[in-house]
Amino acid sequence: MILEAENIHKSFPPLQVLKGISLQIKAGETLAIMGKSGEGKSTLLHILGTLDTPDQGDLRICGKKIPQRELASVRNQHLGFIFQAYHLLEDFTVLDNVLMPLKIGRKCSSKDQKRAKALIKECGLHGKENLLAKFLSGGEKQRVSIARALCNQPDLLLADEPTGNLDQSHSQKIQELLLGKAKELDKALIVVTHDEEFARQCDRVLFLKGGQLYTKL
Amino acid sequence: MFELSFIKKYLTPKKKQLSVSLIALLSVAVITLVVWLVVVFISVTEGIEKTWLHKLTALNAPLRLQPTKEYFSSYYYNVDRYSASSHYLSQTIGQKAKALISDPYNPKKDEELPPLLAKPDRDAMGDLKDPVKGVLAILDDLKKTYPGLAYQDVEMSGALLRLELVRQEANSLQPVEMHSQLTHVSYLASLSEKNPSLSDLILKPSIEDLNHLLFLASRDKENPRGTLSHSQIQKLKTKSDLWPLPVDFLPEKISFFAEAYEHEGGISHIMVFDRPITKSQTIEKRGKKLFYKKDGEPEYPLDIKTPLFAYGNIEFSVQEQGEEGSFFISASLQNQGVSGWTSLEGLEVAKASFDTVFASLPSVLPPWAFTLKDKESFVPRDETKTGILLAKNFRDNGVRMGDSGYLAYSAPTSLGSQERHLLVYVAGFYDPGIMAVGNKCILVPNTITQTINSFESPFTLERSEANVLHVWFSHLQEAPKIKTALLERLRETGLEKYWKVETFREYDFAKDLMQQFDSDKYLFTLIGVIILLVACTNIISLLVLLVSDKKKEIGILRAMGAKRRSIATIFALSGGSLGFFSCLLGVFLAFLTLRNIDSVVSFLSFLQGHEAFNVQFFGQSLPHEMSPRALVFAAIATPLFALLAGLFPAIKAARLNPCESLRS
Repeated sequence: MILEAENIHKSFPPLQVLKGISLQIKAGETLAIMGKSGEGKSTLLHILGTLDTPDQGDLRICGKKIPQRELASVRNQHLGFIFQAYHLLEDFTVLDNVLMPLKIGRKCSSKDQKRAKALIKECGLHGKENLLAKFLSGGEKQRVSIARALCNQPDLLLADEPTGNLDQSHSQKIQELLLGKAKELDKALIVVTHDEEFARQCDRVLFLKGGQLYTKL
Repeated sequence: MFELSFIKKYLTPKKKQLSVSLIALLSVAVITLVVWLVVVFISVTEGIEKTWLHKLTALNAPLRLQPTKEYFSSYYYNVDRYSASSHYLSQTIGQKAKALISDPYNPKKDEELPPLLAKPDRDAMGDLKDPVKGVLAILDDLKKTYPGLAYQDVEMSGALLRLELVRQEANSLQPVEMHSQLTHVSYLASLSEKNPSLSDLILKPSIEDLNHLLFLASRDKENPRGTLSHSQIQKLKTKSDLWPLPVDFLPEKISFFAEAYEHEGGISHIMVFDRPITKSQTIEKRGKKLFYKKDGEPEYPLDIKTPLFAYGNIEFSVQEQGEEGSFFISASLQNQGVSGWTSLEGLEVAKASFDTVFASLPSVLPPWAFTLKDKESFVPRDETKTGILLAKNFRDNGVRMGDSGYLAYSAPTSLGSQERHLLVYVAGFYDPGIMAVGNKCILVPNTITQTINSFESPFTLERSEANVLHVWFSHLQEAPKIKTALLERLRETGLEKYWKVETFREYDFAKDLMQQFDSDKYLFTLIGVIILLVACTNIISLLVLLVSDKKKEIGILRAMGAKRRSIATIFALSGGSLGFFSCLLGVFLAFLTLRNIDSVVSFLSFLQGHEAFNVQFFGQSLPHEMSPRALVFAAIATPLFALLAGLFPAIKAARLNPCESLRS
């Protein structure tokens, strides 16, 4: 298993957001998590991505329980994030953005650079490697975000409403790109989305309601 | 290091982050200013301290050995007064050093020793211990470890200096001689020829000194051979507006505008102006005749001996210096070249250089003090008078080289005390620096101090002060080490009780100054640290703002796996880099300021309306060398303080929750 979460609890007093959530995902599997706004989807994704800590419960990534001091390197080596608001480094070029996880992991070889350029090309941004991220459109930014998430060859991609800020046509293309790449590279993908069509294309869909996950509503 | 790319982005001024950029620029400006100020201030104060230390140790030596009470009450010191071979006189350290035997007393010939006289201090072999030769042997031995070490005994005395000042009033064709007298109660210090710094203290002769020496020589009908053979005169100028122009100076067949003066129906003399003032009359030399022409009148010849005068302040270049004080000179008169051989009559030196360093003793001595290549100083004497060196304030008060007079001291006779005179002349001036007796001290050959000290006089000084041993060496910082080595060797030889060894830091007259320098140094460094710390607090504000501005980016980096340490490094190094850059800028500005310190001082003086810095204290110009200590202080303290200032915001940034940062 790439990720195993067991009995995850999280509360923002007085609100209890997550009430004993357990889920598992294996390599190459795509999982969509749906739910109404404010149900705690993003919180769950952040906990699964080790950006936040649960009040209770266990999290295993690649079969290992991660100690606090190793969280950063686990995020760098095993996880790739795609956010609704893209979260690019606006003053850096497309290539710099894509290479950043590698640079953070101190392993930016010329081979890695070549791979990053190939990824940029595959994500439909050929010729824009040296453009500053701030000059890109929303769709392009999300493509960079996907390339950045994939660049470090992570085991699990975590996407938080990746098409939330895009129009229908761009949204469709990003969905295709993300799911296509996850399948092609055999990466596990957990995507939080409101888009039923997007969710339908995933291997599994879970619904978050009242702090618990359901397979059906 | 991805952190560096972030530091570069964050510190590059941008419109988008205007407030951060403005505070960054302000921080750089403030820290630069503080670094500049600290480096300039510490460099100048250290330079001043160095100058004063040099002055202090140049005449007084960085180490001295004073004979103690035990020395003066010892058999060794007192026995000379009962010994015929010592002429029944107490001997100075220098005389003791030269004495052939340590114990001059001959029981067979000399009178019986008084019973209260101290018993001789003998060594294990039964020989009389010789405190002087013993300490000199130790010093000679120390020369092996400290090759620059030199020593000499110095004698102090006192006398009344009386100089006759003869001056020439040069504002007319008939110079008037004026006489005045200068009387000065003075301390006398014997010249330490072996002092390696003495040559630096002796001032070079000035043009005024040279002119005065030439004037005195012509007045006393003496040949100024020594003066002229050791000075290179480059320019002469007329003493007054009128100068008797030798007719040989006029080139053939060239007209000069002139003015003729008539007397009893004939032309008595002709004035040739330096500039063509009147153009109605001309004069021209043709062969053995002078031809005079006035507008509207026919030209008529004049006797070649008709007196000619050049009018105006004319400066001549010296082309050649001949024998017996003659010079081949040239100048421009009415834009025409005139030249010829002349004596110094009516002329004075305008520019010259002087020989003050010689490889060996010259056959004809200059009348001024000079130095031989091995740094030994030499003060000449003429047939009757001994050369002395006066403190430089005498020169400022109008005394010139060559002025002569006498040193008066009293000597006891059977009829009471009698005034005696030693004839002296001023052979130069020296910078007294910091001397206990300041400007009142005259440097004289030790024959003078020995003569005066051999009589009891009202000027007699405390014995331990009157005759001491001075020790010089290459580096001042060696003083404590040499003192320790010296004391150890004196202890071993049992001579410790006869000598009080002091370094310049312990001299009574310098102790306060040294302490002041030390406290100043610590105080200024402390002030430097405080203002630098205050300046660096700007960096805290800047980085707190920057962290708040870049919260989202911190979250992104954390999501991508950046460690807290990396985030802290970005912000701490941003502070450190600002400090480092400001330090470089400040040091560069300080370097420029120190290089142009004289212009800065002139500007400050202009702003204040008077001299910004007292010449007596600060010297002719402020020190302009950058202090290595100031440089090290700035180079370490500034980036370090800036880094420390960046730590708090850096830790704050590292502790940010990535989720919250991403939501911001």
